[in-house]
Amino acid sequence: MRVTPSMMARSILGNITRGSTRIERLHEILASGKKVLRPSDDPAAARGILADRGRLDAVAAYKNSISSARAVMSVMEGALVTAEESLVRAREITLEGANGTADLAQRQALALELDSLRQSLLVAGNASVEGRYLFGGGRTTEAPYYLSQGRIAYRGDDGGREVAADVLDRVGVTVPGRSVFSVSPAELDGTFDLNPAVVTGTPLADLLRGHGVVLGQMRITDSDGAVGVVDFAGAVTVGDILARVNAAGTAVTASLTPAGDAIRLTDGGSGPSFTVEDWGGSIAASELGLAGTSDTGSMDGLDLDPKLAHWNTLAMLRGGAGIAPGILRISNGTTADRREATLDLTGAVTVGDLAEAIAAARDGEGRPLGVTLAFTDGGAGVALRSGRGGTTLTAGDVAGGGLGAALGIAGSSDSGDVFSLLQSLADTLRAGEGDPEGVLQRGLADLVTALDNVLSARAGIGVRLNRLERIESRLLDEELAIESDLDTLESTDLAQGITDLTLASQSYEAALGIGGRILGPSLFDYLR
Amino acid sequence: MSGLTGILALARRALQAQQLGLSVTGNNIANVNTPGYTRQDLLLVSDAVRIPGVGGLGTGVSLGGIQRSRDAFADAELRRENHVLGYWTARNQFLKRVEALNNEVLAEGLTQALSDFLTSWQELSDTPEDRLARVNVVEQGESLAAAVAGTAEELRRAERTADETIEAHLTTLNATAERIASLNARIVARSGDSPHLQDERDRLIEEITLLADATVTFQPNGGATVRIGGMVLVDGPASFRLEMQQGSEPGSAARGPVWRHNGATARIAGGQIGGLIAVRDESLAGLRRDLDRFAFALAQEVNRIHRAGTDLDGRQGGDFFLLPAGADELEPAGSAAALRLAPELLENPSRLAAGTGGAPGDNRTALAVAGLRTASLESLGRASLGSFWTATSGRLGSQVREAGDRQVEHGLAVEQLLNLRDSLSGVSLDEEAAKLVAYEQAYAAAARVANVADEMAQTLLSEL
Repeated sequence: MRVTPSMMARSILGNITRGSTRIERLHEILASGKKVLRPSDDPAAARGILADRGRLDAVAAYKNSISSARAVMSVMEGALVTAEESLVRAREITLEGANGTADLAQRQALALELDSLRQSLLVAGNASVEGRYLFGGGRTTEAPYYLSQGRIAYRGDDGGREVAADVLDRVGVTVPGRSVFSVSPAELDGTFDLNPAVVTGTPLADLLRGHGVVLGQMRITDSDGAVGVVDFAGAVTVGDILARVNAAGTAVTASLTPAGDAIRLTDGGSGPSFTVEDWGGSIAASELGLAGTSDTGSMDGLDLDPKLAHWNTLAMLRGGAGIAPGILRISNGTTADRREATLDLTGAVTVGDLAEAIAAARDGEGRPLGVTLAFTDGGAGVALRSGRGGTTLTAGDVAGGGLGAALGIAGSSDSGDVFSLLQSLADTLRAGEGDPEGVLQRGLADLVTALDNVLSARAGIGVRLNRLERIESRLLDEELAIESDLDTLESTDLAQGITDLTLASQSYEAALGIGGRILGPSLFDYLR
Repeated sequence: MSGLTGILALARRALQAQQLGLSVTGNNIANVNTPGYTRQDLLLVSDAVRIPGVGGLGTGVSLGGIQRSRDAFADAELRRENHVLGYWTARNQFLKRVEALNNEVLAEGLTQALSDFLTSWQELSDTPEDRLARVNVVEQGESLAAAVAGTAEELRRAERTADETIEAHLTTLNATAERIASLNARIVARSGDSPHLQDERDRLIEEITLLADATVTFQPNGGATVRIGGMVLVDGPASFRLEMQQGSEPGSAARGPVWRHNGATARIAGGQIGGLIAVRDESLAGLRRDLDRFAFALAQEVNRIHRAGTDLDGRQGGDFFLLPAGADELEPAGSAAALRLAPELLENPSRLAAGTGGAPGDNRTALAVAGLRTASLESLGRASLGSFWTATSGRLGSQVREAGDRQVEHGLAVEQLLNLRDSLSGVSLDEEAAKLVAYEQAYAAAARVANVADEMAQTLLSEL
């Protein structure tokens, strides 16, 4: 086969060019340390590299967010520790004030200390990081607790910020102050005395606001002079009393006053007066307000003032005038979690019916309202109480009814907070001796509630910090794995690269050398 | 004629022949490096007359003609391989440039800009009331929009460059076709027998095949007919021109090559022109479509989230990105080039919505936008923004790689075919050297014969 100079030149040049192209590529790989400098170098690896880099960017951002969240949460925790200490000390002070041994000057001192504890709590409640307030919910640009008309008010909201710790991991960071520093749940105190009427079935234990009466004996002398001793031993209900009086063998009969609040003795005899007196060493007649002589033919006893009970019918209330059932709308919630229900109580007969219906109330989404109808302590009334802390409780009549108004529970109430609690405790201590309205006593219970709230908020923070730590640890592991993968995909193996370059250079030089030697000679060099 | 006269004539013819042989050999040697030169061989035949009583008597050598050694099959193979090589070469060169303009692997491309943008939202979610964080988000958004618009502009420029290059190639093609036509005329006038004109014509035809997938048929009269995509480019002395048809609106992309004489679309599927057309209509157009889809989806999603959010003062958020009017999900064309940030955000970063409830510390909108990093979008075929663009640039990388591999592959094939052609039609100096020696010796020998015949004649004359 003919071999022409152009063929040889072409082959040699082709080989040399290929050799130098290879060297150029190897040089690029070694100098940059990367074997993928553009997608076309290795499209599959390039996709992997871009995906890895993207995830690394994301992981770095998540780590940043976690770190920022942890800083905020540790400041919150510190504030809550201060709050806890303040509340514990406040409880000690209140105990001291409540046990009655402190004199006026000492009470003043205790009140002063309560004021300063209140101040500490205020500082804790207004904790901030770089000018961002942590207990104001979403309103982070101004201090949530501020002085307004002599009281400390809350101007935050009920939201809370979440941090994105990973694609699917959202962790709460802040909590609204209202759910941390609240005390007693919201309560709507109703009419103090709904004045249920006494009926024959009223148990003696219910009388005198539940104080109860245990009766002994009384002697009746009617106007005709007939005498009877009534023994109330074993009597259970008011009806029993009436029956025993009526069975005493005198002309005096017992009944209930029309207003249903006392026992009325009526003398059927012809004489001018009749007498009732304590007998047998007891004070039964006095207790019933029936000790004495009447020349009017009848005698009314004391107001028996029964306490309110579940079995009382609505008709018995207001001294027998009764309260008409109706429709109530009740809402109990926060701005973040509103729950409202409309209760049709028109079918309720007894107070117990009302209580049951209210306790079972659920809102439109089936969530329990968390409200109960409770009896007020020391009164014969009811109160609407929220079972959930930090809420606003509102009740009102619907469609022109009057049930709520009559029960005295129409209105709105916020849960109390520690600031107003400490304020009222301090005021009570300053006011004078004793604790006439039981403020200090109730305050002790409220302080326990407040401590619970603070502790559970702290616990919540602890749980969330743990979660963030676990996520962070997982992210760090992932980061290492991705960086290793990235290295595999794009980095040059230096030893391999240098070896390849050496071999390629050798081939290149060989090609150059040989090319030089065979391009030259032809037959012409050997002809004479 | 016989006798001494005959011998002298024989010697004279031999001298002529060997001299001619030397001439032809010399011509070959002179043209050893001439591109496209076909080796010429002198054909010699021996003569004879019949002498009664003696039989056939050779009367020397006569000229059989000059042969041009060309293999039509090898030529045709080479032409075909040429235009395939041209196609992949053009593709490779052009796509490599496009890839270099937006090299995602170097972390300067859209992927990184998008990641930085989303990271800025994540940072905002940590401190939504912070003004600096807002300014950062706005700035990153502006960067991203600029990167998108910039890439769209680069693609547009690449398309225009492709058009310009095609146009330049068409001009070259037309000029070459004209020269072939005039060569045809001259070759036909010489009854198809003029080696150097034929060499020149073959060389020009090969040049054309690098540019386009042309086919050649040789007519009996010696003319060559060149066709591209079924239409005649050159036929005998006539040649036709191709030109670039401009787009319908000024400034819009050109449509493609057409035949000037009848306006028909030229079907050029190979060669450098074919490669550039494919790059422009498939690769670049595909990239532009993907970029528009990306830009539209980005703007649509961010705007949707942003409009539902509230800014630092509790006001409802507006659009974050602005898109051209008329762009929608099915027809997002133009979204990328026109993408920019809503101006009121640039003036007043506190209008940026980070939350949804109106409170300054609410970060739910920021969290939602940051979540776009992994959210799969229906409008992008369930891919996330980042993975969609990564796939696009991966496809471009694959195309570049393929073009490069094919270019090497077909370059080798062309090399081999050229070598084959050379071995059939080229000049080997060794061979020519040997022929020189042969012709020289033959010339000397023929001269000797003439000398001897001359001496014999002298002897005869001196005896008379």
